[in-house]
Amino acid sequence: MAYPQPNPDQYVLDLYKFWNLTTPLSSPGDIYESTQGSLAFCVGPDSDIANVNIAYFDEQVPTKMHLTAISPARSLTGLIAARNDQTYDPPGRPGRILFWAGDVYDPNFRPPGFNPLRDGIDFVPPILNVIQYFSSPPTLVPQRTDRNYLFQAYSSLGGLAYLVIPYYGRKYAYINFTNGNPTDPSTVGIQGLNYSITQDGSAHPYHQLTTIRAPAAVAPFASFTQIITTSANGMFDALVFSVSDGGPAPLVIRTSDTQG
Amino acid sequence: MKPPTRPGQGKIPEFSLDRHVAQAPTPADTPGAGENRISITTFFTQVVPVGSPAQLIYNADRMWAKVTLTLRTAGPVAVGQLDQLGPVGSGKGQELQTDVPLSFTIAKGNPLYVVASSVNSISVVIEPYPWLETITGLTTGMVRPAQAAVAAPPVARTGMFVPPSRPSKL
Repeated sequence: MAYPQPNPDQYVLDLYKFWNLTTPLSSPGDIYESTQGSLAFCVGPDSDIANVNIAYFDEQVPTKMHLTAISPARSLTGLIAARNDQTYDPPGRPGRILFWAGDVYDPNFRPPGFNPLRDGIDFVPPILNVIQYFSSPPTLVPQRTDRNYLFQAYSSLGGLAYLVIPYYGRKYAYINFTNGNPTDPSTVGIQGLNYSITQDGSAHPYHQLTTIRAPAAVAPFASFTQIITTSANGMFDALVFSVSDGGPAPLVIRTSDTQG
Repeated sequence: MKPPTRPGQGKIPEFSLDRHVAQAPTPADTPGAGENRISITTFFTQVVPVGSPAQLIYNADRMWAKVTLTLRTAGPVAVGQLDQLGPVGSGKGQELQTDVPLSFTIAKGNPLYVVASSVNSISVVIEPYPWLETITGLTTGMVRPAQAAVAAPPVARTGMFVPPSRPSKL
């Protein structure tokens, strides 16, 4: 998480009409807070996280904490008071609007058969982007921007190089891989990953993997294109790529909220 | 016994110390100075704990003034004339709506307080009413002689009407 997180009060003192929180996630437990009242909450354009949980002060709930959620398809409009003069029960912490990723992220995920002595794994940490409006916005377009990735080389210790990119709530992905190695083929596989709250050290962690492209060799200077859609493949929290050769091998990935 | 009068000083005229007599200062004859000057500011609220005095947003130093408040943030923010205004939803004040100006015409001595549960930005415009002060002063000027006439003891009038003598041409 970004630490310290941006202060919404400073946005008010600077006469902004919104507060923009943009931060990469480092663990599934990051919680952020706003001391400002809100007239609208929406997922920001730069967000990889699709579902964001929000908690606000409500005397009618035993813990005085009312939970709700927003997503690219559903924003939250209406006045929500931060209630800094009140305290939550039972910890007695001051009233705030709290929010956190509603999607699971686990940087300790390892694919089945992962050999820490030979394989390598790299994560693109998901970005949490939430915008809080201090005045009524004329329109709300919480749809996220398309994400564009380009990789050239892959790190491993002689085994497989794994690459994990966020795919929360995305409906479309365009993938193109070209083996730039002039002599050696590269074996490339693609899996869809849905994280689960699980014990990563156990023999059978509960993360769910779906094979989209079974590992297959790509000859030198050859390439392949893979299209992923919700109707054909399903919905995933992340895409996992496995590459056997270190490259150079351009891998272009474009993800979108809109299914073409 | 007739109450004493207090001598005038500066633009403040002589006035009676009789508390049964309405008082008003002479209309200001120096527009643009002192209490006739417009005030345009931005006020930032603080988080006031429940039970603590509210923040003063207008100290009522103008004779007559139109005070316009516009909340620039989400709030909630309440304004009222009581210093024990909180909490915001107590009903002791009136809630400000975001980007909706709210105006009050306020006489001297009626301060405005504000209470909020977060940091908020409020645009404040204080426009004095010099003409209303003038009307007040003129009205007082007209009423005072009448009051004095009513309060004066009756004078016995006897005899015939005698016109004033013409000045001699000699």
